[in-house]
Amino acid sequence: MFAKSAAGPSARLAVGLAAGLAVAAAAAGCVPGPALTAEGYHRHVEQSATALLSAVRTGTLAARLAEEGRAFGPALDTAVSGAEDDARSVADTFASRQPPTPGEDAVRDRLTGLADNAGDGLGDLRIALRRGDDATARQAAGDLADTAQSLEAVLAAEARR
Amino acid sequence: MPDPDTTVEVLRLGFAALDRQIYDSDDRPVGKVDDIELAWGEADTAPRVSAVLTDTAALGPRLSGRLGRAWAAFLRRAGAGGGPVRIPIGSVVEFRPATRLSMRAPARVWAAEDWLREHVIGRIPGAGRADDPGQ
Amino acid sequence: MKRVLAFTLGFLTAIGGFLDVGDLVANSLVGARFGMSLAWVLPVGVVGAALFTEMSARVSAISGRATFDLVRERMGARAGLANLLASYTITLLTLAAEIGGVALALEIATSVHYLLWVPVVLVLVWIVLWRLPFQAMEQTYGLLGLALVAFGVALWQLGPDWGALLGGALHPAPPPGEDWPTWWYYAIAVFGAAMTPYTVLFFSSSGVEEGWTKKDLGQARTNVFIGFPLGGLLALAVMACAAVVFMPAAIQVEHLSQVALPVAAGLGRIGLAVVIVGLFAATFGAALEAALAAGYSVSQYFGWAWGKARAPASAPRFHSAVLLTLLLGTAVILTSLDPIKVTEYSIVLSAAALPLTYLPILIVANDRDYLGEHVNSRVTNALATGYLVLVLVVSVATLPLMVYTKAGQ
Repeated sequence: MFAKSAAGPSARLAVGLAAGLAVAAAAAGCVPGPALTAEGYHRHVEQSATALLSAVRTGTLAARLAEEGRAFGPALDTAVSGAEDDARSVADTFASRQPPTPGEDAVRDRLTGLADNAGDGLGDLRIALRRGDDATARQAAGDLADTAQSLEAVLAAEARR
Repeated sequence: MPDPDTTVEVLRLGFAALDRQIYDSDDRPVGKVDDIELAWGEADTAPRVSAVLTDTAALGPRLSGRLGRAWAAFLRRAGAGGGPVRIPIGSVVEFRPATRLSMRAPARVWAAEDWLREHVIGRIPGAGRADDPGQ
Repeated sequence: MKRVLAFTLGFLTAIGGFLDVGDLVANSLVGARFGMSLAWVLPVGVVGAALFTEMSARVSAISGRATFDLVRERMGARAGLANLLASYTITLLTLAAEIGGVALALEIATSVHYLLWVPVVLVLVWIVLWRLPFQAMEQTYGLLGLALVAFGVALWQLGPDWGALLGGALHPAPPPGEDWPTWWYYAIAVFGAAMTPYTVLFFSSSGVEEGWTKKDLGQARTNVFIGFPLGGLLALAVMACAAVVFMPAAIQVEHLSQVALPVAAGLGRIGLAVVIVGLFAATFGAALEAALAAGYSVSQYFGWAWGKARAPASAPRFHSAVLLTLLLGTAVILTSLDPIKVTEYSIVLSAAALPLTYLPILIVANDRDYLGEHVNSRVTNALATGYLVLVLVVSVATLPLMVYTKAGQ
């Protein structure tokens, strides 16, 4: 039912498939191309704000778990450090992207500021959790909650556009 | 004594022999039937199967195309010279479900296995210990 | 106790299918982003994986030979080699992801950077493969992996709105703000993670390692039919936990450390400790499975002596292949590629290559030469053919979806 002579094409197909997948994986792994249009820039704003919100909320969740004594240090530290790295990398990428028209400068300034707040807030939280400094951790969590709210406002404004 | 004609078993080489697992008389897995050799001597009225070939070097020509050439070139460079290992057809006892031999496999089949045992695996402590079969 | 231990192989295999690092990340990510709207993929994956694993277990028990030992006999040298290359590459990537996963689990427990753990993990995995007897290995990691039950308990403790969860599961459509292509892309990721080929390779070869005969067929089937749904259920719990805790907070899962947080929220410190043990055991068990599967597939293609139960000195080529694969997998992770990204690509690539694994199994399971009267029944063949079509569609759709959605961004 499975003739050996039919093996040639299927082998070639497999090799071709593998090569195609490798190229696709490489292409898909790249960051979105340069934003030449206002439309593209706004999509980038939305993606960055979503990623930042996720990182910030990971921080507030970790802070809540720490306060309630529901988790131990290393696990929270790892989660918060990961979120901090994500926030800083989003901030870097976003800051390096030039808005296509001056009309986008306002949203750029707003999100750049929020991205910095997110990275700094997560950094403060990480340090406070490591030191077991509950008061500072609570303060950092409060700042992060504010940042999260502002990020939600940015996302809502983008959605209304 | 059955009629000789009914005991003749017709085998399609590609289906029943090629790419089958080979076990030698000690039940050791030797490799796969990588190719089959036909001989047509002056005295023969027709070509006959003279040997099965094994060893990864025999696989190169079977793969054909670029893959096969790359395979052969790789093995040449890796120093696996001397061509494939021939196992005379006379020592094949059965083809299906696996190829069984009436003799121990020629030593050359084990070259890579012996080298790895001697230089890598065998040097690590505990290499001689198998799972306890009673477990 | 003996009865419990008899199922450990099934559960260990199920870990590879439903709870390895790829599944944990994919299910948690999907739950956080799409709620329960992709939950239907898990039962589809469980049935498919169980169906084909049972076939290959039957081949092992009746013929005494592993399925991929027979693939070359049936498909020939060339197609067999293409198959070997594809499944080896994916298994290697999976192994790299699992090694990264074990290191990440250790980072969560200690907050020491995962890259420092990677060499330790390499040594630990290799020592287990070298010294621990097969059954002890299977029982240790099968039982420890059960610690992931914590996800189920945590879900119950979180007191979710069960009606809403069920409602989400019964409405398979992307939630607001998500589009259909991305939703389908992640459906493929969950499916690919559940059907990873190394699972079948491992189970059918371990049947040979344990010397199954016709008499053990019943137990092999019970292993599959109990272990796999249990694994699938836990995977569902992982997804639901993420849907309950992460989705309302707009948290996207990017790290293994996040995967464990819902358990802490539901069960506190003890639950978190248990789940970290579970994460470690599951990724470690999957690393063992993947390393062995790579060694099995190469040795079986070339007809070398193989088996973990044998003394390494009597299967030196097999043990060299396992060792080399482990070193390669570790090297991939040491390049400091994000282990989670490696995981995501490994499951999507394995989705694209699924037909290469499952077609030969179906062919061999219909071969009277090997199976005699135990060939597939008509029902099995009908179901399996359905799955084969599904797997082909998935395989064709994966590449375009991956490019179009920029890998699900």
